[in-house]
Amino acid sequence: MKSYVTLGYRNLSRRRSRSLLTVLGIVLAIGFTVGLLSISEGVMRSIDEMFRSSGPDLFVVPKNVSKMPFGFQGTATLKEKQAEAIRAVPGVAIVEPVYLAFSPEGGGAGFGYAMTMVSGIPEKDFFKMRPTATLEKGRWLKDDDGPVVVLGGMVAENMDKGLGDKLELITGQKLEIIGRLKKNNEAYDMFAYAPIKAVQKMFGGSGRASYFLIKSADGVETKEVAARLKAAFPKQDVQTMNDIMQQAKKMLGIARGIHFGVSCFALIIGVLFVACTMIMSVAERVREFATLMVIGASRAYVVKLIISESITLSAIGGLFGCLFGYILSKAINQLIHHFFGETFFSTYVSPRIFITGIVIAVIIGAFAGLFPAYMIMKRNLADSLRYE
Amino acid sequence: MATILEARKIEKKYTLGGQTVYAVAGIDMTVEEGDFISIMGPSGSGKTTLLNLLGCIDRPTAGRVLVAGRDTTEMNASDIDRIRLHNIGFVFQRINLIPILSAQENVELPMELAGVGAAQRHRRAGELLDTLGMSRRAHHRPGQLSAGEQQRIGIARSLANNPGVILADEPTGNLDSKTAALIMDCFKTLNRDRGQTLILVTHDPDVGASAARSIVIRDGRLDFETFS
Ligand SMILES: Nc1ncnc2c1ncn2[C@@H]1O[C@H](COP(=O)(O)OP(=O)(O)OP(=O)(O)O)[C@@H](O)[C@H]1O
Ligand SMILES: [Mg+2]
Repeated sequence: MKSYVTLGYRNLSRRRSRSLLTVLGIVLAIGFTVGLLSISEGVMRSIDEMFRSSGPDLFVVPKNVSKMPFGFQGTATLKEKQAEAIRAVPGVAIVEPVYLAFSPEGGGAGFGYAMTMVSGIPEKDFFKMRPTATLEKGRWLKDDDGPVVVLGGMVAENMDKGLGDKLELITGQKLEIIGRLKKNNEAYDMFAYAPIKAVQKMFGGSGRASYFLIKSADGVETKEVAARLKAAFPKQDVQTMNDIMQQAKKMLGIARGIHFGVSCFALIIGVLFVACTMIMSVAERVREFATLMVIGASRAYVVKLIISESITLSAIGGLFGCLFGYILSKAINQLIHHFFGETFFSTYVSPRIFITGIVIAVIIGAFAGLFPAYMIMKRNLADSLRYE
Repeated sequence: MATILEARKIEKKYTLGGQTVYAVAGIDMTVEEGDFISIMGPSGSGKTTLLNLLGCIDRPTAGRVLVAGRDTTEMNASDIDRIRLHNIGFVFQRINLIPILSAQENVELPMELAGVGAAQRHRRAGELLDTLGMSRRAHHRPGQLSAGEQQRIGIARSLANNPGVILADEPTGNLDSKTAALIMDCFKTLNRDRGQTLILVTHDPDVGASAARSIVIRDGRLDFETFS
């Protein structure tokens, strides 16, 4: 049998500009779909990476605050001393009380907020909690430091400030920048770190903390430690990193839904677009299809011919659309970088997205071919032969 | 002599706005192997309709059409497709070549549909083009050929699967008289040298005269038949 693809392709080259315009339409539809999907795919991937990364795996937070990120400063309602009680719970390896403050500078590394989170922490267990963290410049905090700050890698990249410059908090206080961490694409890149005592003093919250970060001991199930912590501190809320990731993913699920909707929309527009071209193209060739059947082609052959032509048309669009989508996703990255600075994610065109793009294109072609094929099939052969 | 085609009291009626029109109103006809039959008659007399019925392009509203002894009345669509593919060749007034295929590919197409292997159909298409004097145009597309050349390709295509009968509806209707004469020569040669069975619809009395049997129809009925 003559390859349908060859025939389909030759037919398309018959009306070159019409085919090109149709392909262009599909390129745009598939391209934007791929571009959009690459955003949520990138975010999902970064979340997974962060979840696997080193760092705290449990949080003890006041009741009635939402999951990360926690409340603003001034809501530091917990007692720092509780850290010792937490440390006494079996399976807890490291506890870090955090007094959280915010700075309007730094462009909200990683979160798209206009703020940088400044964690007031004790200086001693930081690197034990985050074994991959390393200092890139300056020095680390000291126990008796005043209002100083060490910037996380991403925060530092978002800020035009060097050592010795001041970081201003939203409440007006200034911290001197004494160091910066290396950017390792880990959660700790997205915060700045100040001595907890200095932060407490600034806000008059001596002996208080906003929440506790906990790292469970090696080989212990985080879930079990969480259960023990919940039993030990019923007045507080215990969240695991996993909970937080699930929460974040659920929120992203909405974004995914929107993206899926956009894809469906692209699909519908694509079908209408290609169907329009195919109907025109088939209507011009009523007598040709009749001739094919008169010389012995089966109806199935003609249907396959029309649908393969339609699929060829939109699959070409799909291929170039994927390419365009890939370029678009790189451009989106640049745009995000330009407007929001360093963030915790970058767009990611996974093989799955490429496959989705191609599959959508093929579905578009198949559906768009159905109606013109039906149009030809329901015609009377003798009448079609007379057709002008 | 074998009977190639047989029509038994075939009728085709159209009902338009409550009015019934008989395009073909009961025609009996037997076509024997090697026949060269011309069908003539005024415009609207039912020539094309008759040919379509004989060629299983259309189904009669009454009566039976037998192809190579097989009654087509109860056949399903795919059996009818196969009859058209293997038993009948068609030549059209408007030629109807596939414009995106070369002359050679157009001639090969019916063989492809019949599942003939590439080498064999290539060879046969070459022979047919040669028979019709079109070898040098094998790789041209229809748009690059004159009407007369196109029609010769059309005839070659109709012969591709070696059908029992060729049905041609005014094959010279769109050609000037000189080219028409050339095409008629092709038909005559095919009939004389290869014993090809032919049924030809025509308006041209000269064309009609070259056939061994001439049938004249009027208002969907056989008016008279002459043998020469
Ligand atoms: N689909 C149809 N619906 C209604 N009437 C039809 C249809 N097809 C053909 N007819 C009628 O049937 C009659 C015979 O038509 P047909 O085309 O067979 O004539 P013809 O002899 O081939 O004419 P011509 O020499 O002009 O080609 C005409 O009156 C025509 O109007
Ligand atoms: Mg006619």
